Order: sequence, then structure tokens, then C-alpha cells
Amino acid sequence: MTGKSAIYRRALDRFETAMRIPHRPAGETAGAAFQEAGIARSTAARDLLVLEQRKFLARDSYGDPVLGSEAWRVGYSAWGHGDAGPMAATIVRYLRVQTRRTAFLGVVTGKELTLLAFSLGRGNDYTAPDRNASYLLHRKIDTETRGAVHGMSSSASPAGFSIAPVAETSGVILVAGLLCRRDEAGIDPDRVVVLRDATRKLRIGLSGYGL
Amino acid sequence: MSGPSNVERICRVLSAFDADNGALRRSDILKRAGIGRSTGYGLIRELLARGYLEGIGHGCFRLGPTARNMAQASVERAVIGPTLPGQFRRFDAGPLDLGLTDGLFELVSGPVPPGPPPWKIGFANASTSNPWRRALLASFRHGCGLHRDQIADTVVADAGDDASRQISQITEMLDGGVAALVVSAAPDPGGDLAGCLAAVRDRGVPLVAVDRRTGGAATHDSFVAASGEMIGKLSAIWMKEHLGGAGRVWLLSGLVDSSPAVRRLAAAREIFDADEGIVVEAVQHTGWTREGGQAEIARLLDTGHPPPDGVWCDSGLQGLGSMIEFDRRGLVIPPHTGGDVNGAYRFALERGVAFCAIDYPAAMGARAVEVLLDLLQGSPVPRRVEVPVLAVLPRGRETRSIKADVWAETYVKWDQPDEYVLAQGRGRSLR
Repeated sequence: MTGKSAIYRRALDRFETAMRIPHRPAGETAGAAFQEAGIARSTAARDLLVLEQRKFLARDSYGDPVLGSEAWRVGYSAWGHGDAGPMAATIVRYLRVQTRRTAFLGVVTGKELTLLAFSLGRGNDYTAPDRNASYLLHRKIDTETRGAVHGMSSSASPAGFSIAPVAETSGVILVAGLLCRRDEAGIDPDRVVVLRDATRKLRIGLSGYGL
Repeated sequence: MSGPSNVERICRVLSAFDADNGALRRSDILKRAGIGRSTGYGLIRELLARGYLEGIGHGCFRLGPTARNMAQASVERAVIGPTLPGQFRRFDAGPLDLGLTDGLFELVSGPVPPGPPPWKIGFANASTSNPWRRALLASFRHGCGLHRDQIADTVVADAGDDASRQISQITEMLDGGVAALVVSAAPDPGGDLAGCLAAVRDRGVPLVAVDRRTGGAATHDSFVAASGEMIGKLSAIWMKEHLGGAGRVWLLSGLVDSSPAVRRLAAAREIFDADEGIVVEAVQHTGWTREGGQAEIARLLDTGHPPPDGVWCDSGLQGLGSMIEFDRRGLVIPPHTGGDVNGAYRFALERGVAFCAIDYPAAMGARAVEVLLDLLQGSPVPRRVEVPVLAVLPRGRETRSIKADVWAETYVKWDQPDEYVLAQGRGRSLR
């Protein structure tokens, strides 16, 4: 049994090494990640193929590994919102392109906001998420809450958000949002309109799944 | 034949859970994952130890905290410059007016699947007349290679941009036993091809349109493309802002009656026409070729038009030809738009041309294969699948609204030929 456990642990190590590749900084190669982990190239190539076939990894238009639709689905399912997973990339990318802001599809439990899929804003004017992507909001929100909220990151940085709720499952509220400066969260009505339009369409899409 | 690898088994176990993360018994997990008990129990134990699963009593499990972390990620890899967590900066540009297509959120199911895999699938390609179209074909083949366990055979046809020839080719494919089709539609001004495709769907053949489509929703189950509106608008906004809101521009479109060209041109005109300071002096079609771009610029200059302040191209396929013609005549090359091919980037960077490229990814060929396989498996797919585009600009050429996703200087492939299409998404080897 010990031998088998070791085999499964090694498989999990390989799985985790491969799934970390999309998170590596641009310029760092997949090959280097496997080499650091002591995984043979042939094994790594087989693992990558399996993960692409199972849609845990995908390639972007430039051939670089990114998270695949099934990885998003599993991750969002773990929060009880799995149907939003395959749509997450589309919606945050649109929100980011339209607003140039950092856009996200996150979850709120109690007063804690966790950013899940996000797309970083562009130019010199974007706001980057906290390293842990987790914030303590100044107040509880519910499915009727719209617009501005602010909070504190785990590293004690203040942050502002424009958010719009999408759906609630077992006390976990799925929200779409934009990351802003604390003092301007939600003050731009045009951005709130963009956000509401996106969440409305996402909600309609999710209702097709039966939520 | 060997069984699935343990990495594959891990994927299967994680995928066994429903969207609401309802609890499952160990035996249900293994049944859904298609894994035997002797392997499965040990694997579940390790997944529990790492937090991918959590026990909730009575022998039931659900996805756990490590699985929750899987969804904490950026949706794209390439972003510019160092990012300082928690950093806030001033921002003063308003939102762009881009529609969020309803089809992105509308799920559709295909016809009844024709039977278990492997399947024979066909690709009716409009043409292979330019490097981008050849890259689309390469991406399609790459996608088929990735899923060779589900694909018994592929049939590919090149219609030479002739709708009637494409109709014949599709008929031949179906007579030859093709179970499902990817179609990039040839220009179809008479609507005959649209009628053919609707009839194919009526026969219960799953059909995915890629890049170009004809007719309405009746002609395909799903449409895979990048947003023509986004490409047209973003590039036009860049041109307008780069020119300071005033100037004469020439528009070089792609192929007459081709849906991406029509959408991009309409979106660009919306931006230019809304601004009185911008005068659209000419709209030409180039067939998306370097020669076409060069010929149209030559024609305009030869007929006495002074060089414009900017040339909007919906692709670098013709944009390269345009720049070459200005250069050949010893004229200052005006600001250009249009990317896609390596040559356009290289030429513009070598000569210091101000430009903005919104690449139209040929990688959509592989994505179309994935969508088709989902349909064949009976899975619902989005009515519209959008492949993301990137804004590529040289350093110092960003405008108020248009920011670079990647710098052209790092994006260009100096060691590749002009025809090389950058966004074709083919898996790189492990470097």
C-alpha cells in the first residue's frame, strides 16, 4: 500500500507541476518547470497531452499553456458555481477590454471576497489584485447589492470594487466586478452599466443550466 | 493496451463532481470516473490529503479547498510589465462601446450523436489563398492530432473562395461518410451555400462554423471566431486617437462579401463616421493579400490622391503590401493598423511605422475541432465561441484608450519568414 501511495503522490506532484505552468511568469518555460521538479521530458509531454485532452490545460493563441475549461469548471464547482466556470474567461476578458480595468468573477462568503478568474487591466492605469486575491469587505453584501464596496486585503492594502451579484448557492454569492481605487469604486455610472449588462447576460446563460 | 495514467485518473475524479459540488459517495465517484476500486481508494485518499477533496461524513466527499484554489487565476498569460500587487493608478478613459454578444451565453445542443467515437470529420475550408488561411488549416490539423483518440479520419477540402465548389465538396464529404463538419464559408452572395448548410443540419449532421459563416443560426450549431467588432473598433479607435481626432484615412478591407471583413469594416466605419474630424477618403478591398494591398495603394496614389494621414487595414495581410508601396515610392509611411503576419510587424518595426495590430487568431481552427467533438459527445456548447484577441503595439504608441497586451518588439519573430502567422496556437515543444 505504501508503494502505491507513493505512486499516487508522485502523480499528484506531476499534476500540480503541470497545473502551475499557466501561473508562471511570461518567459519562464514549461520545460523548466518540469526540470525543476525532476520530471523527465517524456513523462512531462505525456502529462501535458492528457491534461490538454481532459481540458484541464489549453493553449492560448500563441501556444502558451493556460487553464482549460474543465479546470475552471472544477474550480468553480468547488465553490458551488461550476456552471459559471466555462464562461468565466469570456466575461472577465470582455469587462477588462471594455473598461481597461482589472475585471474578475469572484465569490463572496459572509464579508470575504475572493477573486477567482481575473483579467489584469492594461496600460499604466490598472489595479493589480492582492497576492492572495482575498479581501475583507467593509460590509456584508447580498444579491441585491450593486456598485461600490471596499475592503482590506490580507496584506492590509485598502481596495475598492464595483461589483454586481450573479447568483447565490448555499450562501456563496457569485459576483462579477472591477477592481478600482478605493475612493472611486462605483462612481462611474458608465462602468456600472457595463457591469450590469455583463452580469445580466451571464445570469441568463446560467439559467440555461438550470440555476 | 495500457489503462489511463494516474494523472488522467486525477482529472477524472475531479471532473466527477457536479456544478453545485453536491456530496458523492466514494463508490459513486469511482463509477463516474470509470476507475476500479483497487486504484481508486488509494487515489481518493491522496486527494483528500492534499485538500482536493474533503470528507463530510457518512462516507461522502466533495471538492475541497485546493480545488477551490484552482479557479484563482488570471485568464490570460501574456501581460506587459511587472505587476505590483495592490497597486493603484490613475485612470481617466471611459468605457468602450463593445457589445457582449448574447450567443456567448446561449448554450445549444447538437443533433443526436451519430454513435461512439472515433468519428470521421470534415473541414470545408473557404480557401488556402493566404498565409492566415493556411495557418487556420494547420491549427485544425493540430486540434485533430490532439484528439486523435476520438477522430478516426479527417477529410479537408479547399473551395478556392467559390461557394458552388464548396457545396460540391460538402456533398462529397457527406457521401463519403463524414459524421460532422467544420466549415469556413466561402463568400456566398447568392445564399446558395447557406441553403446547403441548413439542409446539412436538417439531416442531423453537427456543424461548426469557423472564422467565416453565411446565413443565420440555421446554418451552424456553433460559430467559432474572434470578434470582428472588437478588431474593427479597437483598431479604428487607436487610429483616431493617434491622429488626434483629425485626418484623412484610407480603409483597406479584406475580401468582398466575407463575413469577418464585413464586420470589421462596419465597426471601424462606426468609429470613424462618428468623428467629424476624420475623413474616410477611400474604401478598397484587397482580397487579404500583400499584392492586393500594394495594388490598391498604388492605384490611389496614381490617381492623384495625396498620401493619407493614416491607413486602416483589417489585417496585416494587405497592410504589409500597403506599407511596401509607400516605402517603394520614397514616401513617409503613414500610421497603419493590421497584424496577423510576421512580415507586417517586422516591416513596421524596421521602418519605425506607428501601428496598432489586433491579431485575428488562426488558433480558432483547433478550437473549432474541440467544439465539434463536444457536439458529437452530446455536450451543450455555446452558440458563439469567441477566441480572444490581443492588442499588439510598439512601445510608445499606446493611446488614451488602446493599451498594449504585448509589445510588438517582443512579439515579432525576427527569425521567421514574412508569411509566418503568429497567433496559430500550436503547442510548442517543452523548451
